[in-house]
Amino acid sequence: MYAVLVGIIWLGIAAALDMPAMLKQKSKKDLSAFVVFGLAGLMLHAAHGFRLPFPSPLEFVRFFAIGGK
Amino acid sequence: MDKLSNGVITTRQFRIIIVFSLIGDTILILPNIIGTEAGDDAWLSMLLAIGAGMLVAWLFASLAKRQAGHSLVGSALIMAGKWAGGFISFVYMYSFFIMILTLLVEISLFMETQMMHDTPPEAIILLFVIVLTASLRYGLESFAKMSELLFPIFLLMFLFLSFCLLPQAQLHELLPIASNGIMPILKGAFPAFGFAFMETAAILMLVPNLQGDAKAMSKAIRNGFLIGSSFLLVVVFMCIMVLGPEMMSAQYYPTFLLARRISIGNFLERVEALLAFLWIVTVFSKAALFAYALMKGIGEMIGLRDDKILAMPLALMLLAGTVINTPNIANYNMLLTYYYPVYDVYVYLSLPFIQFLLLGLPAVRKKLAKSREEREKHEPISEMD
Repeated sequence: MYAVLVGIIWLGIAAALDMPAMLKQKSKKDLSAFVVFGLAGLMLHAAHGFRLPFPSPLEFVRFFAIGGK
Repeated sequence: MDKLSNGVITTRQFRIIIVFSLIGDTILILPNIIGTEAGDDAWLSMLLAIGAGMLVAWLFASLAKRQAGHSLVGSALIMAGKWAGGFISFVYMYSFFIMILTLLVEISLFMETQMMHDTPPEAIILLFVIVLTASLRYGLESFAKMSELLFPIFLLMFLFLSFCLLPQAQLHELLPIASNGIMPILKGAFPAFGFAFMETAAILMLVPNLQGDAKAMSKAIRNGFLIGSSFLLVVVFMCIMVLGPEMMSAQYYPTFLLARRISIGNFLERVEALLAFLWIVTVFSKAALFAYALMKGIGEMIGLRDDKILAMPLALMLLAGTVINTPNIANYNMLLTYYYPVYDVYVYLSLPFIQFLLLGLPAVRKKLAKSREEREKHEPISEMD
């Protein structure tokens, strides 16, 4: 549960820092990118918090083995 | 903060960033890997890797010249269009992302196994990521200046480490030369080549911010590679001569053990915590470079007005990606030794090489020059707002 909390606090600080400038400039692309990346991060962090069997992104490297170690 | 958003770095700062990125995590993990593979011929492997690394330096310098003032991602987007270029950029971005993850995992595993056994890894990673985010938000210019500032301190501490260990160095550990044939040397040279030299590809993202002409840039890249690799060579030599090949392959962090061995006149003892500064600085510097490249690359890929807004969300993704099912140290070391160098060859060597060849085509060159002219026309306006 604490992982979700940390994620939400983190994003809250991020929004407080960056949102006003983005809203003032009315840049929709920036806003949506911010929301998409923020939610992706929050979901990953929540998956860690709830101990979901989500593979570590590092495991991707295993596809590149030579000769099947 | 807005004043620094269009950061300009000098070639001297660029060189120091390259040196730090080359040393990076390599100083910490490489002696173990190279010692396991090559034994007392590890120094030969390192020399071989440096020889191959200078070829990579030549490739990166020529690629940087052909990018004509665009970044790695920017030139790929102009070259191959929105979709194919976007795919190439995505491959780069994912590789940068997992590169930062490996650095964070390394620093947390190092702290956990060597210095702070009972601290949860989340706490260490969170602190590291907070500093990383701050450096992202302050922009490239302050990061470059910080590297410039830290370099003399790094140099002093490195010399201190080397000189304090000189009395314990035993030259006979270097012999016999190549007693097990050439194969172990090649096997050791491959990861050394991958970790140190190929992974420096992220510097190509800094090309648009660079002051000075193309000649100075390629000189900075070559010199940076040379200086950084000489640091690594000294570390490998020290590890063999002071610890010996058996100890080198038995310990995960031989460089830390080196710092522990310092003992002069029962007076100068236990300076390893102080010397941990060395690799914390270099790992942080490499992580900051890759994080900056990641942020900028994504910004260019989707065409953001200000890429700095991505700093905090990306940092959260890094935090989550590091802690989620982190492999244990044995598993992680296997991943690093057997799989990561191969991945490096695909992403940091083959892809830039293909891009280098394609950027040489006359049609692509014309395109690059045209879009640069357009950008320079718009520059005064974008600086005003």
